[in-house]
Amino acid sequence: MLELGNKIVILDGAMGTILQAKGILPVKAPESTNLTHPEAITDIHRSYIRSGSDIIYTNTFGVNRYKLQNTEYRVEQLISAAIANAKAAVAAEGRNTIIALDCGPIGMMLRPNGDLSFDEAYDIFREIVLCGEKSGADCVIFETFNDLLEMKAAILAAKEHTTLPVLASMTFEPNGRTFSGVSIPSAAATLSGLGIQAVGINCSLGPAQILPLAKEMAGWTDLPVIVKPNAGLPNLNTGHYDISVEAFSEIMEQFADSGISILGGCCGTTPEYIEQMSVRLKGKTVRNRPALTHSVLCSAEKIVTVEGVRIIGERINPTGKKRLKEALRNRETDYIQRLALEQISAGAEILDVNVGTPGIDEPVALADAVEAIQSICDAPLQIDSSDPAAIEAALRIYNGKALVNSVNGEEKSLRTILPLVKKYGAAVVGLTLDEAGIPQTAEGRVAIAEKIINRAAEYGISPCDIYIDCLTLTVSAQQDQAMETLRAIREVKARFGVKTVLGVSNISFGLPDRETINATFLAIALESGLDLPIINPSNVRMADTVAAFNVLANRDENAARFIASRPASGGATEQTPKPATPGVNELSLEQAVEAGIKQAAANATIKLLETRDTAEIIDASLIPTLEKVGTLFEQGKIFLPQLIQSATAAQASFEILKSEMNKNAANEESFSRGKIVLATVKGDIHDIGKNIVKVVLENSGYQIIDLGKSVPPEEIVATVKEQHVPLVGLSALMTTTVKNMEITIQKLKAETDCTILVGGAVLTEDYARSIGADYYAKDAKAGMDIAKKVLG
Amino acid sequence: MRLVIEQIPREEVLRYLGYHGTPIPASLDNLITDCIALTQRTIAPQAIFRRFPILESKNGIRIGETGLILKGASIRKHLAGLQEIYLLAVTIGAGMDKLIRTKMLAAPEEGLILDSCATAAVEAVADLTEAMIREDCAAQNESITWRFSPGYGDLPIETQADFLAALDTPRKIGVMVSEDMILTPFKSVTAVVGVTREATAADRPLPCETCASREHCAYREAGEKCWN
Repeated sequence: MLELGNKIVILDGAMGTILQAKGILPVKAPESTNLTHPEAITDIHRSYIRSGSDIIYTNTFGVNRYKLQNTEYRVEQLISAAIANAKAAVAAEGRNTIIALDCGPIGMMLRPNGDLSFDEAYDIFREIVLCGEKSGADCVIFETFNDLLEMKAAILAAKEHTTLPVLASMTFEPNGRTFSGVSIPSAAATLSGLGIQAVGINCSLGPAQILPLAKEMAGWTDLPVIVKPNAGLPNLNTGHYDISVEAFSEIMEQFADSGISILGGCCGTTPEYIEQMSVRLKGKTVRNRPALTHSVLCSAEKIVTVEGVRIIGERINPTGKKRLKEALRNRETDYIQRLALEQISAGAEILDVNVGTPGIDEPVALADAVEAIQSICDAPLQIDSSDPAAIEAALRIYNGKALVNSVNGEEKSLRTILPLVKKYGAAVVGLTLDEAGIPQTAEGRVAIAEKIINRAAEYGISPCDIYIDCLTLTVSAQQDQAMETLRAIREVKARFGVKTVLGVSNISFGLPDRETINATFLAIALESGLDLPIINPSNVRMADTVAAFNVLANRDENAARFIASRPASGGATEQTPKPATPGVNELSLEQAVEAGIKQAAANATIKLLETRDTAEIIDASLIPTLEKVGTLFEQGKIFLPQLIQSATAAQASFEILKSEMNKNAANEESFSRGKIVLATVKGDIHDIGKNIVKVVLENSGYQIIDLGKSVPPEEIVATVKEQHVPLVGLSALMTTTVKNMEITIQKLKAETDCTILVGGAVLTEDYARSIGADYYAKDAKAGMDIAKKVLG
Repeated sequence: MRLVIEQIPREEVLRYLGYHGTPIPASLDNLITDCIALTQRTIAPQAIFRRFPILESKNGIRIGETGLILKGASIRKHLAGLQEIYLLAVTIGAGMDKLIRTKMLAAPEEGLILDSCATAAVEAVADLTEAMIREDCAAQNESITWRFSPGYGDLPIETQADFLAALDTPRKIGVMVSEDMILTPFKSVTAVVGVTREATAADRPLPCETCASREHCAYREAGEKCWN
């Protein structure tokens, strides 16, 4: 069976390269050679086995449902033929060679870069691995992937539907990133947690270029590492690779010296390469790699090592936040995404994501929120829910290594949460409470921490992946408890050496000047050993406390980060708004919006509110000014960036007016000029045009329900019905997706009485009419005019 | 192959932004400069091209043994009398798509400008690639026709799938196509250029003649053009 311990394991070399040389490699469905030339395939396998390959890869790299569409071949047919060929070779050579089902990426991008959903990708891989196991493969190798989430879909499909051992290998560019931006530490940390046998790097580069990358990878995983380089770099004209058999094996030896044990060749390598390498390396001792003891979290692009204090941003949590609750119910994804971006620019390195709100389907909402946030930011996420189903839904779609918030000492919690943490390779927050509630003494909490750590170990979860929360209680109610919490943190650190996490701001509930209490408590907690404070990073005193602590604890070397973040040094100018234009405070709201200066618009609005009410400001100043700017745009006196600048300046004003109205408990709906649904039609993933129209309409006073991109007709119709929306704007940028626009219009016309406005590069006035639209908008200004005509 | 674009042409960025020569406020001018610099730092230009023999067949123009067939009258006219072509594909990478997505939320005016910078960048990468092909050909006393892309004239957009497979772009430069024929990363270009026997370039016809937007083009209406 598959044994990948501390010994050299030799893989095979290229298949396609040899078939091409033999002139029997078709461009379409190249794996059809398993049926058309079975002897040739078996011969190649045999020559690799004779060269010393311990594992051979089946000739199935591109076999998947998507690539085989429009061919005469089926997945099962090619996989069973390929495995039969490999088995024939193994039998003929009479060795115990392992047969690995080879599986490459689908060939279509997953969201958010493409249109393929995680579930569709999962289903494609499920079919492949089921066929592979049925036909008798010994293990499966997913190789040449560049999207970490696609790899995760493939691994989950294999783990959930077969008993096949799994190997996973990705393709990196010389800068240590895949085409989709995945970093080596992120790939290693994420994949190592998914219960696979080995992780590695193949293709794209020669052995010399992969060596430093593979060494880096080995520093982020305890798993055996696979390396399958090309035979050097290709000559652009001949397509031949530039490294000799001797040079190849010479460099491959250096991998073994670095503790990298599973070695083979990719494009351009032949049995000669494998034989030389095998002769040189077989029986060689692989250097032991030290076991990892670091605590890490990551997104696909960014790894965060928990050494020193890292801020977890707490703001994506609807508890006590009316606006976020409303955003969640209305599925205003962009509101949540903006909260994420704001916290990162304020210094959060990890983001808590909690969507628990009455009246929503939490598993769906949490997974959607995670997908939306990871599409626009690279901070690792803390998945926060009391619903195990929601945690699992979010963990599946999460592209990286997440922190689960949380498990506690209750038996039920331990039994449901820890298996999820293990399965998805996450880290977990352990709350020091159990069936009996929160212990009133530090000792009681430490005992629960110990129980959680021990139970996690039984599931195979390392203490490195446990973050104990000693729980903040409100000091106005239980004044003796603050010190117990801090004592517990010190004790947990001292006894178990695990990381700690703490939500801080509850401490001051019910007291005046909460910030003073919060910041002081935070400072003591940090000194007691708190690693991950969960705070609002935009709160200056809290962020400053962390910054100052890092200086005093000798973690911010030469106080460099602290100095750079202080305004006096001038180093913070990049983060802070550019210095106001001279006289910016003297501009009227109309002038500020017309000039597109956000800060001036905000200042002018605050000033106007002293003498005028919100409705008056909107009707008499904001809307007429935006209309004026629209007219200037229409007349060609300004161009699009200026129109958008004006719209965002108006937005700055609107935000102040909205909070003013909330203060007065007025109904927010009262200043909406009407609801508009915006969407790009199914299949169309270009959304910049739609987003431009949205910015302009939203800041002209309309309430926009943005359904996003590639939206199915059913979803648009359902939203229009549910929310009684009078105007729908649809966008399509491709001739191929205009048909979906037409289908959507037909469905809307049949089931609702809304007015339909369309736009997009391939449309014309006539074309728009011919597919049933009521209006065609050639640009954002035309959209404004139509909205005004329809909604007033 | 990885490429480096020395400078994203500012006038092209302005053109994609729909600029018509009106005064640009200083703050906007600075923002455009910043966006160009940010684009320059974010993009990861990649290109691939290969030369193939072509054969006329009943269905269209057959490209070597790749299984790719170029259909329609316009490509036939474009390649009339030629025996060889280059297929080329270029991209500036997925990182730029993510940056634009992010900026459209945080600061839409920047997102919009970055989108135009990205378009200018990918066109510059295509120009550079075309220049490399032209240079290769010049060495053999050959020249090339202008770039003809799937979706131009009556060359079906559906050609993209086989086109990318012929160049193995998913593996070589990370370019793929969605089921609805959208290239990903978004800022990617595919094109065919014909190899001509003479060292002089064939006259380039008005690109408008083959442009899908010709019936409703704001530039044409204004008596201008979007190309140089």
